[in-house]
Amino acid sequence: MAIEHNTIMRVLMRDRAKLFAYIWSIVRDVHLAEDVLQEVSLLALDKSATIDSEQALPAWLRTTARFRSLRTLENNHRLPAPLDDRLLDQLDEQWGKSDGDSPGDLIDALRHCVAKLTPRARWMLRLRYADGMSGVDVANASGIQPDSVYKSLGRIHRTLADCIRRYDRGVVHD
Amino acid sequence: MTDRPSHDADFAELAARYLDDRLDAPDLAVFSELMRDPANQALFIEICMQSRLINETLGVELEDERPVHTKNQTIDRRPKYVLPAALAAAVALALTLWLVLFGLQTAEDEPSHTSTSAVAMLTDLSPDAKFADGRHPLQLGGDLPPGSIRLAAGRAQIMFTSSAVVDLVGPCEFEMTGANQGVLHSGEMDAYVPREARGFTVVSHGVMVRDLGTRFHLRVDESDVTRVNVVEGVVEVSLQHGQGRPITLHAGDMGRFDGPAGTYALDPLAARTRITTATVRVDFADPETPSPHAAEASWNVIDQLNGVIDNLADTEGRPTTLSLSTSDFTGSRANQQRDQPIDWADPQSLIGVWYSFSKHRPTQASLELSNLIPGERYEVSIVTARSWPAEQGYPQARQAIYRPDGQSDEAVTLDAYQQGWVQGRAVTWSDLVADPMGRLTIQLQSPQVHRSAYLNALQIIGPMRVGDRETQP
Repeated sequence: MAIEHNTIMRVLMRDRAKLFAYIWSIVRDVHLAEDVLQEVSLLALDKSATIDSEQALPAWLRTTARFRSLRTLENNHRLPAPLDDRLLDQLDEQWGKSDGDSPGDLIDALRHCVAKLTPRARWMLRLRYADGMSGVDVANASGIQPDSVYKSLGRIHRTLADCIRRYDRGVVHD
Repeated sequence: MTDRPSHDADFAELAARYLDDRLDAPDLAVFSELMRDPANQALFIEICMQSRLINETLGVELEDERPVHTKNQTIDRRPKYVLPAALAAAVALALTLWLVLFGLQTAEDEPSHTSTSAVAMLTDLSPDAKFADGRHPLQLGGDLPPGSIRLAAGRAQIMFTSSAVVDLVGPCEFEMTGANQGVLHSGEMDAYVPREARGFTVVSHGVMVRDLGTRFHLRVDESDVTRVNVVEGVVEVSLQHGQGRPITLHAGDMGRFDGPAGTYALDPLAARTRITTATVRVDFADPETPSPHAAEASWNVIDQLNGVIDNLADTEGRPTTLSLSTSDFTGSRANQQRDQPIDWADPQSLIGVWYSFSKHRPTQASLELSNLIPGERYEVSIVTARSWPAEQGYPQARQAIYRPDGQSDEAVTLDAYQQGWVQGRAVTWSDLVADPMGRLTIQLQSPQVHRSAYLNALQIIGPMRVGDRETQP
């Protein structure tokens, strides 16, 4: 049974951040990721007759996004892709574990956990992700070595991941 | 300076490098090997999601942050994918979907999957969107039942089930009253109404605007007077207490409608303009210390901080439909030292400058040019010259970022004293494209505390609706 366009649109809007993150993890370029996201969105609407159900849609979007991302890398002379097919298969399986989840809970948890970071960590997150600076630009803006920026970002991401897991389990200490 | 991960680099650090494309082949091999571990795969996905959600949703909550112990805080020009670009991408996706759905659903069709109470869907939020009631931002893609949205700041986009799209500009209050209608209680909004949603209606303080397939802008001012500006197509405006038939407005028309009084005034320029290339110059002056030289006809002198000025004149003294809106400037410096007529080529004749400053946090001001021709290209220049070196005890540099929104032309970082004043350098963007509503927006950002972004003068060259000299608005 074909899926309705409105359902596709609803899922696309709900899962936009996740699908973008998936594409970005392959192409690692925000502009390219935006282009691929648009292509995949249009394809989903165009090929709605071939998609069985709302439950099947996230996997369909991911598969299409992977194919389009790799083709984009090829068109931009950036092949071979840094992660091989086997690894991408394994990651797809991981991405699929949260299919159908609303991003609202994760946003709430992330908001809670970001608020607990030090001002300096929040500043770094802002420069790198909200302002879109590269790690090197963040280093220049902060007066530290790029190496320190990546170390800090790694630590911050781990801290956030741990905090989000505790938040999800309801173990939250303000 | 090293930029290679150390041998014992943490997986999360490698992931941060990978996502920034900063791993060479050997490091990538290490990263890939570590990635075989399912726990690391899960962490990698978490990092990707954290990064994206911070960009899309939480960026504004980090805006107040600043480095505590940093040195050499020169923020170079930002890459193109800064906040407005992220917003543009979101809008682009929403509009793409909207365009695809054009032929798929009519205003009369009720989507079968939606709850009976849903009349619209939230399709975009700008990173700085804040709701007046303090609730968390609504989720993108979520159903919106009839009711009010009170947007304190930023932008929010909703798409009615009819497929009409409304962009709300905070602060504003907009009430959704049906699948193809709403009420603008305060503030401003843009409407994009496809053919399928023809008949989309917005009511505002005794004024009813019925769209016949077009784009229009609506703004309620402090006196509850409703200003309607039609960008494309046709709208009908009816007054609750007015007499006679609805007033029809066409593309380029602009009118002010006082619903309670039952009166209205159309911009006389609207019907008597032609589109031609024009140059408009604006001097942003200090209201307390007027220039000893009378304003020249070729300049528009504005000495009221933050507001809307309509019908700017071009350098030949002809009225245009161009409007200029400024916001978030915090003050101005004196211009009593002006000892020569103002001259675009000489920034030192333009002493007296608006600024955006905060002692405790980075600041941002903006200027918006509207009623331009959608999709047309413009050359825009600003003079940003701080006329004295810094006072003793304050940082010497007056560096700020000057950035056009949603453009391929990039942000410019400039020291308003050394480059703006001493060197007399203006900031020029030669290829800015007016958005679908006929607007250009420029942000002035002072990313460091105790610094200012400045604005002395502006020049815009490009196609505009221009009236005859004797046509006074």
